[in-house]
Amino acid sequence: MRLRDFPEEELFLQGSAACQGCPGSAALRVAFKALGRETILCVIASCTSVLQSPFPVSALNLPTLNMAFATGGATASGLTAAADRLVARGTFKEKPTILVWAGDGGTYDIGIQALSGAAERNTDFIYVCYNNEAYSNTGTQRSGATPYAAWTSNTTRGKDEWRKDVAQIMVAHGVPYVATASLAYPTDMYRKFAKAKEIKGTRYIEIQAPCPPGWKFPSAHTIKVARMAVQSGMWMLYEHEGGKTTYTAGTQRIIQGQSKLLPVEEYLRAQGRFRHLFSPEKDEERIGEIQGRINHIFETLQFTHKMKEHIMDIELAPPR
Amino acid sequence: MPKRKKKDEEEEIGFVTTLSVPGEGSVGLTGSWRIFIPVLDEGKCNKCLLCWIYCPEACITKDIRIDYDYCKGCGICAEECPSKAIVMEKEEKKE
Amino acid sequence: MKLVDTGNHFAAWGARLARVEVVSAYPITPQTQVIEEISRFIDEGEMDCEYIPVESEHSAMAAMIGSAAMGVRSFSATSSHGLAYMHELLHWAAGIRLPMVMVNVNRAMGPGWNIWCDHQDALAARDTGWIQLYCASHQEVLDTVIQAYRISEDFKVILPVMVCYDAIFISHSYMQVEVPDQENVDRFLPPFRSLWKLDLDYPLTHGSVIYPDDYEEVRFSMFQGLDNARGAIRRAAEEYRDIIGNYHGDMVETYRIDDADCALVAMGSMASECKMAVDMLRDKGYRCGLVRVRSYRPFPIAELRELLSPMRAVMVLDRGVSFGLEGALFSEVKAAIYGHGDAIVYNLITGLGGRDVRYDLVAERTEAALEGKMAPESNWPSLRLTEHHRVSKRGLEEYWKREGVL
Repeated sequence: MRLRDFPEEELFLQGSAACQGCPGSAALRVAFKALGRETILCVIASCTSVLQSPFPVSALNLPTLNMAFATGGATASGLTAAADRLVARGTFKEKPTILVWAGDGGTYDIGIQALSGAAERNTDFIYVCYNNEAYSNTGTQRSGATPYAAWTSNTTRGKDEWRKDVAQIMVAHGVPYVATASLAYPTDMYRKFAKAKEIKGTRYIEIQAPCPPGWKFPSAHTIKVARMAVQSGMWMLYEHEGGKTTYTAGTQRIIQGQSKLLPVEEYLRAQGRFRHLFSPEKDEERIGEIQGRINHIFETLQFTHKMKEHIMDIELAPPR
Repeated sequence: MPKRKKKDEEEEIGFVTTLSVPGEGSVGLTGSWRIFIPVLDEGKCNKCLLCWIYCPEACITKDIRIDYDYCKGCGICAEECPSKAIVMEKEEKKE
Repeated sequence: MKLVDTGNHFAAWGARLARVEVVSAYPITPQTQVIEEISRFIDEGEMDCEYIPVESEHSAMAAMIGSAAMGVRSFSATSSHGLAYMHELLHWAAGIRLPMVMVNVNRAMGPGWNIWCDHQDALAARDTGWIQLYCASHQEVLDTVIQAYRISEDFKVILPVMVCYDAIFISHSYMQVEVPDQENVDRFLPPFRSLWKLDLDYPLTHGSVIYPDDYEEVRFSMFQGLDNARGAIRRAAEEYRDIIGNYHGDMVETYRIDDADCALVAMGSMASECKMAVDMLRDKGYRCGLVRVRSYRPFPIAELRELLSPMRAVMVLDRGVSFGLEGALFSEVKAAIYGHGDAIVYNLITGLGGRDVRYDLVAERTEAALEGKMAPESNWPSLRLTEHHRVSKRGLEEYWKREGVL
């Protein structure tokens, strides 16, 4: 799918309450283009509750149910059960896509029980976590998705813990489709949504959402920071289905050796939330720890990739 | 955004919910938020559509026209334009 | 069809006859049989319904909000801690202005795991915007679940209804009930209707940010909806009687009230016990009657005012307590008749955690009140310190000694 083939119709309407350079509205636009009008949207308490604009006008041109923080998976179970009834009754010719849109707080932390329950029930819906790596809506407090060493308003010297990985937790649930996406790679994101739309059961898509006020970078840099996250290996693009993980776009190119990892220092320097790692003096230890983790992951993946190619060569070698 | 109806003491409250209707400009003409304005040099534009898809506000049409009523001036289009066809300029506010 | 079964199973029958299409619930004693019976109905093809086996009560209510928002008749069942756990979403369900019905089997709150009856759970959910109806018999449970959908889906109401009945006394005991014909229930209860839903052809956004300028009207509209429910409850009770035959009162049910100069006021199965107390007091020459509050929200202000204002004394029984004040029903009865007549209002807080409320105790204490031997405030007539309490206290006192606390 090329950009010029994306539908022109905008289901996220202009003049919303989103901040300048908001990654949430940028992600909504691409998702809506891929999923289309036959979509029922459930928004979980997050910045998206706000950026859709206050009563009585909404920037969301889809039937939308705003719901409480810890309810994403469960609400989807109700929406999809009712949609099944309406299909059985003939009210719907085809079942609409049930889309839950939540932040990392609503996904990683308070909402993980409902999400896990829905995934275990294989509820037929797409769950999107737009992950801005903090509770941005309440003023940037730490979340389970905040990366190691990042400043938040309640980790002022940098977070001591490493983030958890809900995408991998969803893989462990054995759901039919898990994917990660980046704003800087819209065709990759679009393709993943379009693919998810055609799959039945629980589908999980997590989009990294660099937040200008929360991460402290200029609003013009939202896409740039998202791209650097992938290039540096801080955010990985993949999809997982049928028990197999396939790396995509920028991440795939690094693993396959077509491009080099960007030193993570450059990614960290681009954001004010890591400024304490560089000023008043450079924190080599913590930067080194982060780079070390990335190196370990990518060396393993690159090695596995080479081994696979090698094995493939053997398998594909013509019989003598 | 529709103008709020003047409160009429006689009017029965009836069924008032928290339902919102979809509409453009749900918080008004957000172009007023702008400090820097994106200016397009059509001669340089190669219609790659990156600005169209990256704009968080859907303020650039697919045929690359910028809607200044709603553009918040975030500068993503100028930052991402590979042929530097869009530049951000300090906006002279008209009274 | 006559059937001997438990109150829980009759709640399930109510949902079945109401042609509920989505059920989402999480098991909790003493509610479990409701959802087990519904699962059986579905498995045996007697009920055409989706059952969502959610992982918590919070999720049960979230799923029910989701299904109701799609325009499908929805049902849930819970009790006690389950109701407390979904408390946030009780507010959401009422605020969303969609019809739905849930049964709550009234059970005591922990700590101290107690699966027996009192009303503390539902009283704590009093101000969520739900209509709360309390049942006093198995037949009433079944009939009220069906009526609840009529009330909930009334266009002047459009609010969720909680049908409450007592743990163990009703939930688990067996009684004979007349199960109405589906045909008659269908005549009484038209297919699901609501005033809005998630519609692909007419997209609306529900529940975004709302500013102080706009919010109060939304709450007042809910307030009006509950006010309008008074008429809807009355109409549902009357039409149910006309079409199906059973009648359990509307906002209230009365017993021997016509010539009474004093009255008992109670809710739930305890109110049935009070009928015996009324008879006993009548035998002793007291002109006593009973008012059973059937609708706790909306509160039967007009009914209580009319019935109780002429009385010389009123005894209110509370199976729960508003800590730091008194029995909640007691407060509210006083508020309803304030400025109307000179009835002195007394209060018994009793039957907590499933303790038996004996009619002779109620009669004895009411007599004491009528004879001026009781203060018009909260009285706890069934308190007594047993050997169990003493063992526990002695254990704690040993600890205090060891720690030098005292």
